Amino acid sequence: MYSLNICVLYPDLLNYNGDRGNIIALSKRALWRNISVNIINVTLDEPFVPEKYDIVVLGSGQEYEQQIIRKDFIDIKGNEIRSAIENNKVFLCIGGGYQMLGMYLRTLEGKEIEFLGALDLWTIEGRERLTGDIVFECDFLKSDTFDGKIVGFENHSGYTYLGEGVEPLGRVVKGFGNNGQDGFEGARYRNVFCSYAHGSLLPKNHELADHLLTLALKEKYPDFSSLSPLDDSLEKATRMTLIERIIR
Amino acid sequence: MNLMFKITLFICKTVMLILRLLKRGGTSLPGKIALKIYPRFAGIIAEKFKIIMVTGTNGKTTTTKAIGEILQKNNIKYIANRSGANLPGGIISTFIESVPLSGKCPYSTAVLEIDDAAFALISNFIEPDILVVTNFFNDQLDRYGSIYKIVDNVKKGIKNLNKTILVLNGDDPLCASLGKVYDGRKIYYGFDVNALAGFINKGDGTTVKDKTGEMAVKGEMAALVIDESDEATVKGKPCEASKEDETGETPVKNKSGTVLVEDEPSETSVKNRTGEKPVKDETGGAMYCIFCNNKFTYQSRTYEHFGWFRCDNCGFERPFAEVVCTYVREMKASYTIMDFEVTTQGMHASSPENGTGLEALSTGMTKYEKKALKHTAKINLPGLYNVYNALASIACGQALSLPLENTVAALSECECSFGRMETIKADDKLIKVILVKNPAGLNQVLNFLLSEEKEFVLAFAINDKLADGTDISWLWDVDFEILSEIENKISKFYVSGTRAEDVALRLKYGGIDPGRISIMKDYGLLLDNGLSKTNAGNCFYILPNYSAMLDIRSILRKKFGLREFWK
Repeated sequence: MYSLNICVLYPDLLNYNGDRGNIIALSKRALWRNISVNIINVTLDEPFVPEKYDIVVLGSGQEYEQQIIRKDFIDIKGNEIRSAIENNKVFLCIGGGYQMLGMYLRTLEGKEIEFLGALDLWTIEGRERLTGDIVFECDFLKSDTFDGKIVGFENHSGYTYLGEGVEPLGRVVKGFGNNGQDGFEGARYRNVFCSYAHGSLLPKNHELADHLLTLALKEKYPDFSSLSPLDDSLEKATRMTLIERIIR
Repeated sequence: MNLMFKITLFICKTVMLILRLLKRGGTSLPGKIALKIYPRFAGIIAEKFKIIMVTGTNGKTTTTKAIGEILQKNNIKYIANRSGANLPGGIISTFIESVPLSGKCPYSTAVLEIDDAAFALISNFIEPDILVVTNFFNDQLDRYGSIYKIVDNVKKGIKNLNKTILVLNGDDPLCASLGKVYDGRKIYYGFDVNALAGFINKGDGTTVKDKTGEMAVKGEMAALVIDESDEATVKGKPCEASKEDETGETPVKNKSGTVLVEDEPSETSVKNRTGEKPVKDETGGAMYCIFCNNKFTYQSRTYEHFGWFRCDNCGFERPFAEVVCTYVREMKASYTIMDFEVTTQGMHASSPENGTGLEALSTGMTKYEKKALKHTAKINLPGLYNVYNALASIACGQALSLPLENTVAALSECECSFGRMETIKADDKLIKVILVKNPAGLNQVLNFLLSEEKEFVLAFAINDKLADGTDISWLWDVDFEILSEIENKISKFYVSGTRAEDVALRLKYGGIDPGRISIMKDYGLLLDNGLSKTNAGNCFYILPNYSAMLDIRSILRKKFGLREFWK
């Protein structure tokens, strides 16, 4: 029987915007296929041991939480997180967690707050919050049965820009995305998936959830081929209803 | 009254009358017009009133209502913005409605519910005599950005105050932090360390050891123990709080105050929570010190981030509370019985003719002497969250120097206010509508449903309109998982509102069989179907968020003749 270890970083701090739904979706969709799941919560001052995890989830947080986490994230866990990324561990990072993988955040006052620098991307605080429903299209998810359209809710004042070697997660169909200008949303690097979409991202975008599970299982079990199908009619209905309302 | 004031009042009253004739409510536009025509209007119209303001994230309406009941018990006539019109326009409209053109108002007291994001603005032109702050939770972050911005905003407002008595939830660190910026009189309320001793279920893993080796209860009301007797009453075991915490600044217990009610040991049966545990066991809240970002250690937790917190770094801790729930005796689906203590400083100002023994105790008190008086109250409102609302209203009664027995009597007669929980009789069945608008509130309502004795039908109606907050991701921060514990008591699930599918999906991932969930977006059909599935003598629970509630109410009004919402 297959099993997956999901590491949830700072669950006591990065615990709203429905990010917990991503963990629930990953767990349930694995359990429904008889893949056992082990959730490992890792917060401040606790060691991050990459070998133990197959998927790492970093949720969104407000500036206040970022400030509390920053030192621990960079100085204590930083090296291990960087090496886990380079070793193709699957990461899902939302909002503030996404920003913190990048190089820095430049505040409105012009101060540069250094972040982990695991991905070549950076964030500049804008005057206008980018808030609302977002639909974006992911080429890597497109198939005969799926048009690659992902839906979520974004709410960020950081405008993020991608550097060399980092792909966007998708192209914005409706909404703002990374910065409201270049038409990109999120970031993708090795097996790291970053997005500003919460609300939650994975439950109603179950193709993305299954993509993450598949990647993690393939990394862990060389013989693993593909996930068994589930009844996803409610997931599809939820996503389609919302996308139709937003795009219309 | 100056002429400009009179003219403005006349215009606004006329607008209000027209809006009422058009059945448009008119609970906020007249006030907005007044602000435009004559900015000083608000200050002038409010100055003859004794003003009580209630703000915070959750429980504002219920607390406002409870304070109103207490005033009524004391024969104090008051005005209130009952329909939840809690922005500046609504507040000023409330005054416009009550003050006649002659200027001679029959009311002298105003109880006002204030939106937490609007308080700072309102404090610029009206200084309340009492300001009650219930709590701070993540709510509508798409509108306000950050919970800390809201706290800061209320702080800004408090800096405008001089004579106000602050009534603050001492168990909520964010709320308690407000007291640090104010030099005037403050009354804190909260739960005693062992108040929930009868309800802490140590067998279910919700009690965990934290890093400092202290026991901390995680999760919200997760620890409720349900008695499986026929009555399904949630019962508690008497605690011995007074022995353990008589140190430092803790309340003076039973030394000079008389115990008015004896603790009768009651049976407690422990039922372990079954079903899956939520992936995350701490919902969003401030577990970290607002002053220095250090993690709090908790001596006890009631729910969410409420409890006896302490920051070991800067020393910020749960302040001494003058009004304390010492013990929760019984929690039923419609009421809670609690013991509480009120510590009085100096002379008790209650009137001697209302003597019930309580006043006798307070005679002979010398100034600044602290006395703790023990009392028992039945709070005729469901759920632990309403115990906090009741404590807030008791503290407000204390701030007004009203006799405690009137306060207790009022709480036992309290009825749920508009929409927050409303019961409508439909032949031999009951429709109960409970407003839900954020994770903390909905968690509390779900926990309350655990204590429902009979089989029931459950509907959710969640919209993502501007008034509700367009971001409904908070649904995933709610512990719907606990519903699987009572799934056999819920005969049918309905989901409605613009985001019906999202709720259905959340229920599916929370462990509910999607085959038992019907998506029904038409409210008329929802009511008909829901009632047809409800057995005689049982309840149909509808949990809408704000705009869905207004729509459902308008249908209920047509079907069952509910009163107009501004009355």
